[in-house]
Amino acid sequence: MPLLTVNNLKKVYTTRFGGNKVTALKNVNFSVEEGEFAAIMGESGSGKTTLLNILATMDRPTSGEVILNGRNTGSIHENELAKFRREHLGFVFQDFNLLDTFSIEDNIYLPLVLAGKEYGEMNDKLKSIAIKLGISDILKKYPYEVSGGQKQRTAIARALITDPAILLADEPTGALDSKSAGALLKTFSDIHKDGQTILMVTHSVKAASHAGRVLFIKDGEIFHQIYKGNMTNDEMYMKISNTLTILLSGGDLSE
Amino acid sequence: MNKSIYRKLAINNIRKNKSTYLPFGLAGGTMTALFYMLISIRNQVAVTAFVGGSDMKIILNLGVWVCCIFSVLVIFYTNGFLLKRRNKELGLYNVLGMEKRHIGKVLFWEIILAGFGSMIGGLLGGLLFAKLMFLVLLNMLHLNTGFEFGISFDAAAVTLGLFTLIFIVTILYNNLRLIRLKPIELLQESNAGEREPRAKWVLAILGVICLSAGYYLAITTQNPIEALFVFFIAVLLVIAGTFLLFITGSIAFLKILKKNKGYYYHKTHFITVSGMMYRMKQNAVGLAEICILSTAVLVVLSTTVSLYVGIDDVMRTRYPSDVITNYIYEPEEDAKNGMEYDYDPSLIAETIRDHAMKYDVQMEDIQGHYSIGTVGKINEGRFTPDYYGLDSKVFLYAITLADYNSAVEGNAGLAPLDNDHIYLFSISPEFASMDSIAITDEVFRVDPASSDMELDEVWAKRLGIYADAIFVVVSDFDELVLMQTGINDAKSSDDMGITSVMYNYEFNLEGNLSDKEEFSRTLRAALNEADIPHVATVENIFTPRQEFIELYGSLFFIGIFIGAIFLMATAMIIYYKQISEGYEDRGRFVIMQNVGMSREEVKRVIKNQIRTVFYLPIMLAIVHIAFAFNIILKLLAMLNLTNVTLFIGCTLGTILVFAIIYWIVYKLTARSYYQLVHS
Repeated sequence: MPLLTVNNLKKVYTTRFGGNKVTALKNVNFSVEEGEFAAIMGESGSGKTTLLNILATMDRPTSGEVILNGRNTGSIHENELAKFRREHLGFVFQDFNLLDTFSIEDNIYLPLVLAGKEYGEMNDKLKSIAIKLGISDILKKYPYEVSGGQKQRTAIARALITDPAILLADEPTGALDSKSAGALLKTFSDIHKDGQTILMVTHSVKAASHAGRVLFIKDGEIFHQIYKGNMTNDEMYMKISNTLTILLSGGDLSE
Repeated sequence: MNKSIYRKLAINNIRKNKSTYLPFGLAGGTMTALFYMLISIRNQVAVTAFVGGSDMKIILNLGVWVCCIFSVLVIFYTNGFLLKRRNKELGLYNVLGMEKRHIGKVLFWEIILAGFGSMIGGLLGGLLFAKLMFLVLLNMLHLNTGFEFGISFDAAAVTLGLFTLIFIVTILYNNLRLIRLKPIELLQESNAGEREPRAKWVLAILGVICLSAGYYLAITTQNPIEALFVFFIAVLLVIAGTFLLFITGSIAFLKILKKNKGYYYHKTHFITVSGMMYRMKQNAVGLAEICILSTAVLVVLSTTVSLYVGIDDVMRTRYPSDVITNYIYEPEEDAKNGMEYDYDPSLIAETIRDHAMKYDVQMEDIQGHYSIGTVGKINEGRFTPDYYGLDSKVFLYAITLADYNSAVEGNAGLAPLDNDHIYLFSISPEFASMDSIAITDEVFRVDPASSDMELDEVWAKRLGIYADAIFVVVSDFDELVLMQTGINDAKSSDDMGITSVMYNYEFNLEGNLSDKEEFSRTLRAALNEADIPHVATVENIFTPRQEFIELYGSLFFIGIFIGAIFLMATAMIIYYKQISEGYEDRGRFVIMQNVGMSREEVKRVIKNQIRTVFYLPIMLAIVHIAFAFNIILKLLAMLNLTNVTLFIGCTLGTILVFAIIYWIVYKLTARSYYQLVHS
C-alpha cells in the first residue's frame, strides 16, 4: 500500500464577492510510495501550491480524498490537525520560515518543544541531524547571521527532527543562488538515500532532476509523469526539459 | 499635476490607514478638548474674584503647562508611529514616479485634514464639555455664584494657536524626514534582522540600586519638612530605576530563564521567553513610561481625593479648637516702652464669655495656658533655636506644671518639680529616653516619671505635624520666662525674631453656624475694645472653611483632570504598542502554525505574552505606591491631613478604579491586536 494516495482531488475557489468560481484542481490522482522522492512540476498558476497546501492539511479539498499512512486527512478534526501535522509531516518552504527570535538550534527544536519532548531527548536528535546536514557549527547563531543555504538546511533539520512520514518541500531552492541550490539538492538526495520519503513542488528543472519521479501538473490536472530509473541527473534534466518543451508548445504526449 | 490630486490622495490614504489615523485623530481631538477646557476654566477663575480664586489660578496654570507638554508628546509620538508604518507605501509612490516634494504635499494634506479636522472636532467637543466640567467644578466647591459660563474666545484662540503650531511642526518634521530618506530605504521593510538583546548586567544592577535607594529614602523619611525635598530625590531615583530595570533588568531576568534548559524548553515557556525578550527590547521604554505615568496618576488622584474627602480632618488638625486666641506676655518689654498693662487671664475669659452671650453661642472645652514654642535642633543633649537649613528640626513646646495639671479634669496630675527639673515627652524614642537636657544654657534633669506617662490628647495634638517634637513641663511660670529669655539670648541673628511667652485661650463653640461665624468675625474687635494687651492670633475654624473647600476642591479637580490626561496618554501608548506589535508578530505566528502549533495554542501564547507585558507596568506602579506610602503620608501631614485610614482607603479605591480602566483599555486594544495577528 502506498504511503500517500490522492484520489479524485478537486478544489474550487469562490471569489470573495460570490460570483466567479476558479477551479484550481480538478480530478487529481496519484500516489507516493514509501521511500520515494517525487517532484511535482508545473507553471505558476498550475495548481501545484494548492495541491501542496491540501497535502499539508493547511487547506481542505472541495471533493476527493488524501490518504496518508492509511488515514484520510479530510476526516481529521480541526483541533487535531496541528498535532497531526507535527507528528506526520515535515515542511520546507521557499522562504525558509525561520523565526528571527530563535537561534538556529532553537528553531530546530521548535516542533519537538511543541510536542512536549524532554530536553535530553531533543538534544540527542539534534546532534545527529546537525552533523548529517553540516550545520553543527552554526547552531548557536541566529537566522540573520547565516547564509540562505544554511537557513534552508536549518529548515530541513527542523522538518526532519520529528521523523515525519513524508517531507513536503515547496520550491526549496527558489530563494537560493545556483551554488547553494546545487548543494541543497545534494542534501535532499542524501536524506532520500537514508530512506526519507520526499514530495517536492518546484518549477526548477534542475531541482526536479534529482527526484526519482516527476509528475507534471497543468491547469489543475496531473497529465504526465516520467521516471528517472537508471538515468543520471543530467540525463533526467534533459528528459524533463524536452517534456516541458513539448508541453509548452502544446503538443500531445504519448507514453 | 492637477493640484487637487494631492488632497484626493491624502483623503484616500487617511481612509486606507484608518486603523492608525483614527487613534491619531482621537488623540489630537482629545488633547485639544482637554487643553481648551483647562484654559477656559483658568480664564474664568482669573476674572471671577472669589475666595481662593488666586490659589486656584496658580494651580490651574500649572495644569495648563502639564497639559501643553503632554499634547506635544502625544501628538509627536502618534505621528512618529504613523510614519514608521508607512515607509513602504511612500517608497512605492516614489518608485511609481512621484517626486519627494509631491509625496511631501500628500503628507501635508494628510496632516492638514486629519490634524486640523481633529483639532476643530476637539474644540467643539471641548466647548460642550467645558460647560459641563465647570458646572461639576462649581458643584464640588459648593459654590453658588451663578456666574455665566459662555464660549471663551480667548481660550479657543490660544488652543487653536498651540495646536496649529504643533501640527505645523509635525508637517515640517515629516517632510524633513522624507527628504533624508532614500527611496530604497523607504521600500525596505524594517525587519532587517533583529539582534537578540544582550543583557547589560552593570546597568541592571544600577537599576536595582537606584530603585532600592529611592525606596529606602521614601520609607525612612521621618521629618515632613524634609519630606518634600526627599520626595523629589526619591522620585528621580525611582524613575531612573524603573527605566533601567525595564530596559536591562527584564532582559537579564529572561536570560537567566533561558539558561535553565529544563525550564526554557517547555511548550509555553519556550515561545513566551524568547518572544518576551524581543518585546522587552522594543517596548521597555514604552512600558517604563506607562509605569511612571500610572504611578503619577495614582499619586495625584489618591492624594487629592484624600484631601478632598478628608477636609474635616484637615480642618481639625489645622484648628485643634473651634476658636484659638493667643496673647503675647512681655511686661519687661512694656516697661522699656514706658507702658504697663494688666495681664490678668481672667479678663480675657470674661470678655470672651460676655461676647459669647451677646451672640447666643456656648463655649465648651475651654482651655487656657501659658507656653513658649520654638523650632531648633538638639545636639549632644543641648537644644538651640535654629530655623534655617534642611537638617532635621525639633519643635519645642513648653508649659507650666500648674497649667498642665489644670488642663484635664479628673487627672491625678503630675507631682511638683524642683526648679531644675522638668517633665519631657516625645514620640521620638531618641528624645524620650534623655535623662537630662540643656535648653540653651540651662541644664534640666528629666523627671523619671515622664517615661511612664502618655501625653494627654489635649497636648499631643498641639505638636501637630512635627515628628521630632519635645513637650516640656517646667516647675512654674518664672522658670518658663527664664527659659524664654535664654532662648532669645541664644539666637544667632535678629532675623530669627523673638520667641515670646504666649497666653493661649481656646475653646469650642455650640450654637447655630451663622451665630458662630458672626461671633468669630467680631471677636478681635471685642478683645481690643476691652483693652486686652498684645492680642496676637485670633482664628477660628468657621471662616476659613470655605477657603479650604475651594483650595482642596480645586486640587481635587486638577487631580482628576491631570489624572485623566495621564490616563489618556497611557492608553494611547498602549494602543500603539499593541498595533505595532500586531504587525510584527503576525508573520511569527503564521510560521508557528506551519510547524505544528494549533490556533488555540497560538492564541494562548499570545494572551500570555500581552497579559504579562500589560500587567507588568501597573504591578510595578502599585509597588512604587506601596513604597511611597510613608512619604506621601508625611507630605499630607504638611497639608494637615493625618488620617491614615482615610488615605489608605482612598489609595485602594483609586488603584481599583485605575485597574478597572486599565483593564478596559487592555481589552479594547487586545482585540485590535488579535485582529491583526489573525488576519
